[in-house]
Amino acid sequence: MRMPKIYTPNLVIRHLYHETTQGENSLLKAECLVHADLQDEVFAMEKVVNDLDEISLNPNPTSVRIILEYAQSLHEPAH
Amino acid sequence: MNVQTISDQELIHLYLNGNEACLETLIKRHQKSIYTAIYLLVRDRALAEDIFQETFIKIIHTLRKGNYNEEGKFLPWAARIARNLAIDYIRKMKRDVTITDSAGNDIFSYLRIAEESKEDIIMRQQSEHKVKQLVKQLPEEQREVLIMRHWGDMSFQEIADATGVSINTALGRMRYALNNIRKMMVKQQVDL
Repeated sequence: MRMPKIYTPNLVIRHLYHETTQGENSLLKAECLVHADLQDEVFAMEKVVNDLDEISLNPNPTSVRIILEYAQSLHEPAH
Repeated sequence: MNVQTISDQELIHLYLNGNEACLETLIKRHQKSIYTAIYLLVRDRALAEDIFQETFIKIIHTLRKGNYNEEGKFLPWAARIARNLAIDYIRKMKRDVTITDSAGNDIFSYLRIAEESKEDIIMRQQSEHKVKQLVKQLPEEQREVLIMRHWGDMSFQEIADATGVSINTALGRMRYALNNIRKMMVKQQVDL
């Protein structure tokens, strides 16, 4: 893929995680309009990030209860 | 009072002023992100539960001592604590196991791989865990950056600072991580 002049691979990564400025976003958008390969790259990466969002695990409720009971115990007088 | 709409900072203030329910809301608001990050780092459910508990106990102590910097966001701060505890556990486990095979290789790595294969078999039977398996297969450095950014909500600069590398290195590791997952996903579909 021939890269546009201002493109850096890291710019796409920062964009995916909302760390780019408005100016950088506009530039990236403009570059994607001109270079279909770059657009495909961005779409493919966005899909991976969306798939990662599917990974979502909860701790055992017992762990949360243990934490809260511990926090409560900090208010109780020592025996 | 609808605690669900209250910011993390306000929940902390209210908790420190005696409202225990706000602590519970804070934990439940972020438990998925923090637990997922811990689990993907240590790749063991029981250990992840322990570290999850330790993380919040440490958070509670820090809050009660008044050492929480309110300028930072809660989740990245909590994720940093979780990461450090997870790394400590991993280092301790590697240090404690000194058994080597006849070739002089540390069998710790074989044990971890054996555990993962069992888990992988179970998870393969549950199709929604496919992507999770892919993350677990990533090289450690890539996995760590991915976990801290995606679930820990740490910025790339924060990750760079925490791992002792430049921001460009952190970004590069993230790029490799996402590309590797993409390639593995394509390969999975081809193999099917």
